Amino acid sequence: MDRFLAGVERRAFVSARMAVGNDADALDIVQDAMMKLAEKYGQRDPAEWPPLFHRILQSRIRDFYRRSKVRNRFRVWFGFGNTENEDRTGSLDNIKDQAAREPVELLATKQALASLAQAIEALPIRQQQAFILRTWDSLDVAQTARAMGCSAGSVKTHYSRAVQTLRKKIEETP
Amino acid sequence: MMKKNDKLLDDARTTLNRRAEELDDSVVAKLRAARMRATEAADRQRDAGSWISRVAGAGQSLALSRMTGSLAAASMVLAVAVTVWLANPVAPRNNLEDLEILAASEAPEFYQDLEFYFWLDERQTRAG
Repeated sequence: MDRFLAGVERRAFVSARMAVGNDADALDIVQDAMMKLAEKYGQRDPAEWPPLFHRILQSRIRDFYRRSKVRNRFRVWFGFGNTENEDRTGSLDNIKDQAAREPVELLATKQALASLAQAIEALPIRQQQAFILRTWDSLDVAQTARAMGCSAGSVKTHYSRAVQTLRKKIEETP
Repeated sequence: MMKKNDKLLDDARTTLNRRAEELDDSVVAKLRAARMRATEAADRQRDAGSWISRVAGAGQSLALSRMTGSLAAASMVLAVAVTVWLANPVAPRNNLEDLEILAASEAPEFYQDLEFYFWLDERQTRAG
């Protein structure tokens, strides 16, 4: 169990961080997912852990979004404004110039990758989940559908829209 | 188009990998702590599972120990039910006879003297 979790914890955190936009909530989500896997499925065959973990993690991220929606609704009703997760469109112009003294080519590559990361963060949550699971975690359509709790058709749609959006945003980036 | 997509996907993998590698030390420490807690929870679950197996005398497979555990639980429920039933037995059958007496048109005194009438009848029969 320890070896498995050590192998997935960083990726899980990055996925959750991209989805929820802050470290504290992402850590909570990953910790919940780890604990649930350990408590409920710790005695299962280790080969079953990866899909189960993906499913628990994605489900926790969806729960977070549901709760955020309710919270935001209350905030709007009580006049506090909608501040959480509202900036999902993330401007690509706000990239920090962290390495101004690096060679121009390297800097360009870094900036392009940073733009791409921001574009992935700005994707709608379902598209982002489908994209990360398919591209980064190398799950096939059926595995992604199980992890996301939706149909294979929905996964294909979300993934294809995500790729289109990312391509468009990258092309727009100077 | 395919080449563009491949480049996009490769870049996406690179940037995501980079993010995972460049996590803050504090985040890495918190992840490690969370992992330790989860691992301990898994160990506790495993220990609890093996204890059930030992009690059940099965232990070879989880499915078998679960089945034995279920049987043990069912036996306990049955034992409790029998104990409760024995402590509070159902109404005795002669309650039905009482019901007949209550429903009859004769006065209750008639039934109280019934044994005397039987005895008298028997005496008269013998004498006669």
